[in-house]
Amino acid sequence: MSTGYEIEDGNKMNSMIPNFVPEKPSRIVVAMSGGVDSSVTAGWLKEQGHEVIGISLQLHDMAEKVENEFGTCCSLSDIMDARRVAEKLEIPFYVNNMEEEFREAVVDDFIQEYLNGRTPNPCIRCNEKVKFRQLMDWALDLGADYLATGHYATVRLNQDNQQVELYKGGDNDKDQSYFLFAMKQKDLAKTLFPIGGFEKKVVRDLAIKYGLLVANKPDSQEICFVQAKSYKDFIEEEVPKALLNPGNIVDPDGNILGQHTGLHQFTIGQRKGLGVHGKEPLFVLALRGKSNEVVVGPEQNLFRKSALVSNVSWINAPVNSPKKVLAKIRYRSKESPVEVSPTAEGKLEVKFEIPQRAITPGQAMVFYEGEKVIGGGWIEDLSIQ
Amino acid sequence: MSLAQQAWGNPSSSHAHGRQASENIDKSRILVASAAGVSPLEVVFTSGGSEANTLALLGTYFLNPAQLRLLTTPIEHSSVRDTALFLEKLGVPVDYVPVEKKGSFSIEVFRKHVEEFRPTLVSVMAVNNETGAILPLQEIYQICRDKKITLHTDAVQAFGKLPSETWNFCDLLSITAHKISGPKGVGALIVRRGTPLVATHYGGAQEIKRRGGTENTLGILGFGGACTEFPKPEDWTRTRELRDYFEKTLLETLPGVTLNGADIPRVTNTSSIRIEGIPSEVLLGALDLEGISVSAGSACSSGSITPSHVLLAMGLSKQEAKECLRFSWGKSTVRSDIDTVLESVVRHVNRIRDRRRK
Repeated sequence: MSTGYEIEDGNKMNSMIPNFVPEKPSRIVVAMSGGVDSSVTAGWLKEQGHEVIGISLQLHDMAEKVENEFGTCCSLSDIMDARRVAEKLEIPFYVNNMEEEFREAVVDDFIQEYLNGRTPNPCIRCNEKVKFRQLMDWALDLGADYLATGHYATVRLNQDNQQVELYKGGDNDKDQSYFLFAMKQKDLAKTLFPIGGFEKKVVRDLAIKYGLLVANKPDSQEICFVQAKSYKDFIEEEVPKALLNPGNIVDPDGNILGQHTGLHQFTIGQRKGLGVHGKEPLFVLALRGKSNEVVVGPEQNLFRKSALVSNVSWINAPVNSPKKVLAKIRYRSKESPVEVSPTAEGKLEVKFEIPQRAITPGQAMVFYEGEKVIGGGWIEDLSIQ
Repeated sequence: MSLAQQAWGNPSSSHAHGRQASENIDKSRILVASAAGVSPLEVVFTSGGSEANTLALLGTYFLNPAQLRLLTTPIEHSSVRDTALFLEKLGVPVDYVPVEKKGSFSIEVFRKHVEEFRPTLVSVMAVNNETGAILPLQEIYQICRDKKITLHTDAVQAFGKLPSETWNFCDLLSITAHKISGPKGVGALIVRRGTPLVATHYGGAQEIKRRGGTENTLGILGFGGACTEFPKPEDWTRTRELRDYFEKTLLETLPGVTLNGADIPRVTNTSSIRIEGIPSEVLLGALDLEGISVSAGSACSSGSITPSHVLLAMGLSKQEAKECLRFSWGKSTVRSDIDTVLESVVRHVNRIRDRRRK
């Protein structure tokens, strides 16, 4: 199997699309989660002749709660998998316990967002607040030249301005560039996504080639710390009953149609489990955190042409004037053409050419120019309070 | 494996191979007893210190579950700590004698807890495994003896590092082979004559009915063998010199270094050091990559590093506890080894501090 060849500018070309990996043997710390992607990342880098060190953060231990932890990330049994991979690859491996930091920065925020009627994306928050912060510091303290992860995204060095640019991964189904929009240039310059340009099938083949037991481990699907049947159940397990506020279910005109027992049970666009009925099917249109109301209505009202985005960050040059780009409103949606315009408050107004279904407050909106990620931010609540 | 092939007899069998195995175990029993300064009949072989600790507490509990009242400390090894938590779940009253801020153990505070709580069993370690602090076992024993309280001591860290007569008077004693360079996975609970205890493993009448199950014959032979090279007072003098040199040099060379348990008596093979601004896992990794092995916190099953409960009990904040490392050495360590470690620690700490300042 051929997985690497040289292209003219000296970067090693490892996939269908360009992806920077240093040619010179370097000390590279690999963030290992126990899954197949980060395991192959370590194995592949070692094969290329780099000095590879594995590190893991133990973020939660659900051994007491569940029997089968397959398909999660960074739990105790996943760390055991990572350790076995490191042993097989004969690389040093270190683990640090960050359960408390993870709980504070990610899980508590996740719960609070749901209680406020928003639909959070804890993975991006974890990347920003826990992983790239702690792992990068740790890697550089170990004297590493780079930190590598198993994300399906790619990086290129722009020779004109020496900036690092972030691009989509090589496997369309697996592309994870959406989760990385908040990365800072300083960190990106020290980050590698070595398998980011590969297809998942190639990664699994490499895992078999390296003799890794995780070759057939299922991909992680759901949010890693939620083992309950649903997010609703998870939040009800974690939050005292007194904090789950009941409220009204209303139509867009404010007429009360029924009652609910807490905003955390709803997301925008939801149809099932509302407990109220109309002449036509009803969908959740908005969640009003302040008045604790769930607004429902017909499906056509879910489509919007504009949104407001806050906490905006740009990977390269900031966008200071109106610009036509592509926007992705959630991980599993397709990019759609938009015009973005900065507001006086440092937020971003987004106008869609095509109306979008269920633009959801709390989710990230990520902007692309072709395959390149240019930045992103967090969707604000525009519903009338 | 050759020894394993020779020593294949089951010590419980009556035939010649079995008798040979049984005889070998008893030779080891005599060697271990002599090292600990106890009688061979008092030695109950276990799979190590953790099992010995668990057996001491649970074996006392099962004697009379309704009567047990356990007094212990917050700085015990997790095998004592977790057994105490388990007993609490079963409804056993458990009380903890706090340690002072600098890690010292006040006998007056202990006496007060004994008088107010009225325990039937006290479990206090002889030497702390993280700081090397020596606990006042003699005084603890006197109070327990006066009140007819059973005293268990986790002597794992004292075995081979302090004269046996400073800890072997307790009623129940846990020791382990690998602390005197013996094999891992074998230890003993010493049950002093007249101390009642029931088995928690069933299977046979092995170990005078205190621990059922076929003996770890090879491990026990190794334990006995290690006792023939039991450390002597000269060894401790030498390790003390190394320790004092290491600590003095490090404190003089690097700013922001503190020594945990600096003002209390400690065994001579361990220093628990806090280096401000340097997370333990970072320095541990950097040293490991150069072939220097140090420890941080207490390693859990995944090998992940959590702040040490011992340091937290001594009043360190979580942040401070996450900046602590444990340096240990032994009989074969020489001064140039210490110099190598010092050079490496200083170089990495300066490098990491420089990088983090930027």
